[in-house]
Amino acid sequence: MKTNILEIENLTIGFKQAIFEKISAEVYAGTITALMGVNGAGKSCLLKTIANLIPALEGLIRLHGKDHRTYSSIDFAKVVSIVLTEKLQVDFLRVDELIYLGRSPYTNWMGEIEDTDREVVNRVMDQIGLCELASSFFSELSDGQKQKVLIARALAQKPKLLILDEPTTYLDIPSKIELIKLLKKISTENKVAILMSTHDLELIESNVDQIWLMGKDGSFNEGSPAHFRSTGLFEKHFYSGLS
Amino acid sequence: MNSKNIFLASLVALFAFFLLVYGETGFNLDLNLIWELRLPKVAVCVFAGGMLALAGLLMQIFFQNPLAGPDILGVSSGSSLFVAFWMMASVGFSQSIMDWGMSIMSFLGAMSVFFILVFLVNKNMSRVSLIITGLLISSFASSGISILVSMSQALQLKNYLMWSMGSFRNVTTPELPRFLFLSLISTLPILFFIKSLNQFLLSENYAKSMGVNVKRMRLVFVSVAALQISVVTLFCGPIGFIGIISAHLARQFLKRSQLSVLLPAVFFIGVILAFIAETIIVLTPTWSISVNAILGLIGAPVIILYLYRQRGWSL
Repeated sequence: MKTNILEIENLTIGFKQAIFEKISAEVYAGTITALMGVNGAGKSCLLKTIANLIPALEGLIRLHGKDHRTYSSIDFAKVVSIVLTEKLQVDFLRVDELIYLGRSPYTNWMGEIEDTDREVVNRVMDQIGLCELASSFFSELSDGQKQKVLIARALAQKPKLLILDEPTTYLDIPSKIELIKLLKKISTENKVAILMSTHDLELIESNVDQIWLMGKDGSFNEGSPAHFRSTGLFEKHFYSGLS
Repeated sequence: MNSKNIFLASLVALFAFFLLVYGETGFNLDLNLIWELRLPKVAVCVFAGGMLALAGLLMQIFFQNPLAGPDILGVSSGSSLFVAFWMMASVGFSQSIMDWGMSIMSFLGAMSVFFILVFLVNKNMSRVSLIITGLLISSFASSGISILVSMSQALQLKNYLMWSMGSFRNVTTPELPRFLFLSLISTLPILFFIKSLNQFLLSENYAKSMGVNVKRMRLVFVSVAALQISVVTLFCGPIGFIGIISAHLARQFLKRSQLSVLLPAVFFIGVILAFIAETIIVLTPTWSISVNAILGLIGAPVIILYLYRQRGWSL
C-alpha cells in the first residue's frame, strides 16, 4: 500500500517573482523521486519551498495530509529534513558532533543528548557506514564522505521526507553509484520518501521510482522512468538538440 | 569540563593573582592599592576581554564570516561615535544622566551599525564586501568623531581623548558594581542560546531546517553582541583585536567547534589577551604603552597567519 507523504497542489514557486507555476505532484513513503530539469529551471527553488526555507507564492503543500503552514517549525523539522548544496566551512567539527545536530529538534533547550538520541545516531552511522569516521573532522573528509555525513545528519532528524539538492554533483562516478545505492537502501529500510534533484539521468533511471521533470517550456511532468522512456519525454527535454 | 579549558582557567587565575599583587610600584600588598586600583583593573580585564571575545565569536557565527569582529565590522566605531557625540553634547546635565545617557548612546551606536550590516547581508552582500563595508563605517565614524572633537571645549576634549586611547583602568571602585551589572546582563543570555549557536554552525538554512526561528535568533545574536560591545566600549574605550582573534585561537587550541566546549575557551582567551596587555604595561611602567598598541602587535600577525593557512578557501 502506498502511503502518501507529500502532496503538492497548484504550487507556484519563486523569490518574489514566479519562476515556475502550477506544480501538482505526490510523493510516497519508501520511494525515491528524482527531480530533473535544465539548470535554472527552478529545481533548487522547488526543493527549498517544500522544505519551508522559502515561502510558496501560491498553492498548497500538504504533509501527511496536513497543510505545511500549520506545522510548528520544530514539528516540521521532525517530518522533513534536507541536504543542501552549499559548501560548508566548519573547522574542527567532528563527524559525530555534526550528526548529533540532527537531533536538535528533539533535545531540550540546552541540547542535552539522551539515550534515545544516542541510539538513533548510532543506528544511522551504522547504516551509512560512518562508525570509523565518527571522530574525524568533517572538513578533512572527501566529498563523497561529506555527503554521507550530511545525509546521516538529515536522517538523525527521523524525517518522513528526505530532500537532497543535487547530492551527486561533486562526486566521481564510483561515489555517485555508491550514493544512489545508499539512498535506495535508506528509502526501503527506513520507509522514508526521498526527493532529490539530479542531472545524472543514466544513473538514476534504474534506481528511482518516480521522476519529476521541470521542462524548459514551463510544463511539469511526473511519472515512472519507463513512462518517460516510452512517451519520449526524455528525448524531448534532454536530447532535443542532438539529432 | 574539558581539560584544556581547565588549563586556560588556571592561566586566567594565575594572571589575575599576579596583577593583584604586582603593580607599577612593583610587588606590594598594600590593601588600599589592591582595592582601589588593582581589583577594578583585574575585574575589567576579565569582563571586557571575555565579552569582546564572545561578541567576536557571535558575529563570526552569525555572519558566517571568519573575519567578523567588533572592530573590523565597525561596531566599536559606531559605538564610539555615539559616545563621543554624547560626551560633547551632554554638557550641563547631572552626572547620573550623563552616565546612563552614555550607556544608552553606546548601545544605540553599536545597534545601528548592526542594522546596516544585517540589511546588507540580507541583500546577499558577499563576505569580502561586508568586511570592506565595516572598514568604511569605521572611517565614516572617525571622520564624524574628528569633526566633533574640533568643535569641543578643552575639558571634554581631554576626557574624550583619554577615553578613546582604550584602557582597562578607567573604572573606579565605586563604578565597579555598575560595570559588573551591565557585563553580567549582557553575557549571561548567551548561555541560553548555546544550542541555537551550534545549529547555526553549519549555515542559516540548516539551522532553519532544524526548526530554529532564524529571525528571532538573528535579533538575539545582534542584540547580545551589541550589548557586549557597547558595555566594553563605554567603560574602556574602543579596544581592538580581542574580538576577532580569540575565537580563532580557541579553535586552534582546543581543536573543537562544539559551542559548549568552545564558548568557555573563547571567553578565557579573551581574558588572557587582556591580561597579557595589562601585564606588559605593568612591567614597563615608564613607557606608558597603550593597550591597543600591544593588542595590535599580537593581533595583526595572528590574523595574517590565519588567512595564510586558509588560502585556497574562498572567504
